[in-house]
Amino acid sequence: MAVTLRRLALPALVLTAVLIPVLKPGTRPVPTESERRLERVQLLRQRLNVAGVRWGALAERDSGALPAMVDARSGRPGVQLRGFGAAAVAPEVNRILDDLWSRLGPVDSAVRVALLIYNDDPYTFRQQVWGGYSGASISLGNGGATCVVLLRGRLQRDGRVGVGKGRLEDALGPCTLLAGFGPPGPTLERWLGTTRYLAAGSTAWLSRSRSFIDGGRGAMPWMAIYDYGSYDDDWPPIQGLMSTGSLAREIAQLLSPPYELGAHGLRCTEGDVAACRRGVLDTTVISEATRGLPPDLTYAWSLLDYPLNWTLGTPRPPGEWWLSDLIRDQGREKFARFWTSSASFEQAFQVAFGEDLGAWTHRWSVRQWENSWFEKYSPSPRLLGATLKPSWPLLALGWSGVALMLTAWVARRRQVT
Amino acid sequence: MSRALVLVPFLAAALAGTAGAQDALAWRDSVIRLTAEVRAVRDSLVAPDSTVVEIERRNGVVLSATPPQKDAAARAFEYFTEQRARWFGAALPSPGGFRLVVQTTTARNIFTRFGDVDRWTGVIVLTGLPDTADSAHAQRAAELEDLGSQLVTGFSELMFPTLGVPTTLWLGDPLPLHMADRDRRYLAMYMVMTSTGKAERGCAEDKLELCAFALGLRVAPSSDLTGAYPPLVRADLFLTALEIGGPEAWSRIVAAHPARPEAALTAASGLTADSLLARWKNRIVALRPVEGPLQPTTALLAAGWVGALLLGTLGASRWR
Repeated sequence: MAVTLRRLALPALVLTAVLIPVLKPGTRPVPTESERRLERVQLLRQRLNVAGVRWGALAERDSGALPAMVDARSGRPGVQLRGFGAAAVAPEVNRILDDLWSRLGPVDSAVRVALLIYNDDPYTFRQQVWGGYSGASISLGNGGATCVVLLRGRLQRDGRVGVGKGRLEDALGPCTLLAGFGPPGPTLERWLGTTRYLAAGSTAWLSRSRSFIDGGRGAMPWMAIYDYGSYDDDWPPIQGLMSTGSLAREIAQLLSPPYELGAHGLRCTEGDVAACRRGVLDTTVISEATRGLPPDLTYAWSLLDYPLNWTLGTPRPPGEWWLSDLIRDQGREKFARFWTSSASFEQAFQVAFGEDLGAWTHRWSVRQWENSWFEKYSPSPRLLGATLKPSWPLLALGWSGVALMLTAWVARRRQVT
Repeated sequence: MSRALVLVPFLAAALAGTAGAQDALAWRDSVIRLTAEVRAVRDSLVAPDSTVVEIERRNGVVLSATPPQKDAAARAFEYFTEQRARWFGAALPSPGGFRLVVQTTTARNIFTRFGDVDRWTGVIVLTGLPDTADSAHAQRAAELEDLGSQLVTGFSELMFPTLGVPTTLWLGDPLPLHMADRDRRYLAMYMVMTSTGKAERGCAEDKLELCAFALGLRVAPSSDLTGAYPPLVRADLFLTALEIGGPEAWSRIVAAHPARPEAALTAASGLTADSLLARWKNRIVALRPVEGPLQPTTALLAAGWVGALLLGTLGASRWR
């Protein structure tokens, strides 16, 4: 009896392992009224947040950016405070501007920059709004450019206006590039416009060494946004395992490749340079998620319309420090040639840097990924699709042979009953 | 370029953007409508539950709960009262009081959640008086077993903004009060003693000015320094300052309106920044393990068991 049980145990285990991925979802309990309401609150809050951010961004653009533009000047921008009272001051902001513009060196006199710090309390409507809008309104024309940075601030009890240093520098990113290199050539102007200057959102090229890894706390090289429902049961790559419940789903997510990078990001990081090019040049993601907004407003994650409905195949844009890293890696002179070129994007890149866009982006993506939080704390294989290497079947056959020989050797001996 | 000419491209862009584009007023209307909707749904989460009753009232705080959660809520309230007195003293999130609504859940253990979803089972309301329209409020979900910790965490998040912008920006994340003191301190010790940046190594070697830089309190003493401790280490220093300063430490920070995090730490602890750093550093160093992870007795024991199992297996074999 015991022998029969043991003989049956192995096939049963194998069968269970095979069947786990194809199990159908069990019947889930019907959500209670309370659960449905909580989910509704979450969804409404997300929509409310987008509405609050867009209200603030558009209102400040319409009513604040115009007067700020009049005072915009070439060289180190002035600071205007709006909605904080006459006594408010922002010494820390002035110090950062002094520092950045001294590092910038000579600037293009046809580029005017202004900084408007606004109070976003009126737009929150007594609800908590995450993010707010911090970006810029950029208009190009007549051989020049005007860049008005719109930055939300908070009035502190000591009468100073506080802003996040990182947020200030990110919002200033496009303006520092314009001031430092002048208006971009037609190719870059189109690319920057349709991506809302997303890849220009860092000033690290002014102050950080070449070895510095940008992107906040170990961010991914390609934009990964976790929106409401992105970890829903319909996450395609591991749908089979989803059916066995949330525990299996979590285990599968921990073990699975970083699908958040998207197929293009994954392939790029693995060495597919065509995927790297596509990731940089694709502009659909941002233009669709910000459809209807005035074209002069630059990117901020809080502006994006949720849910994003991204799939694995949707190309993610590169991180906001992509251009900054390019300057740090290649130097200002080469970048200036790229920035003002009228050739196609890829050709301009090749001519300016002597390297293919895809190849450089691949190196950048690998460096960024290997220093990302995800790789440090949850390393996972960067695989996509069938990846059976020739050595694996050989190895499997070898071990099978060893197992077979061992079994045959054991079976040759006589059992004592 | 004259000022009037400067505006031409902007106005052109503005007009182009306005044609068929979204405008601020439409989004304002959306915000008003959505706010009303959120409020209505949120209120409906508590309002129809007429079974929520007051359980306890202590030091200006009222605890209410649905009857099945009564005992769990009372136990959690004890923990909350003790932790609140320890970290926040008598400080309030806002002069108008506060309101913390917790939806309690079950089915969160590893076995029952397999193939199941969390269940919302009841409501617990913590109200700080005066409960006015201007009170700070928050909503959370918590397992009944974890309720006390969640009440403290929720209250801590309500209190966090009262520290002022410089201190909250410096801390980065809300205080990790959900962690046990011992776990937090050991994790901070691990982070301090194993970080590899130049400044962090210097701090581990007892150079306090480098600790101050790595903690984001002061500027770098030299330009070639790199490294910064993660938020948990800063939080550990901050909580150490609160502990040294006693129950009224938080109120002292709020009253001091600190323009810099260092001033907040000084106000909380009553010590100079250097003295506080030295005391914190000594505590961190004292937590370092004194013995290696593998002791001779453990190694011998493991080898002994391996041998015993091996011999046992060979001896029990029915094969010849």
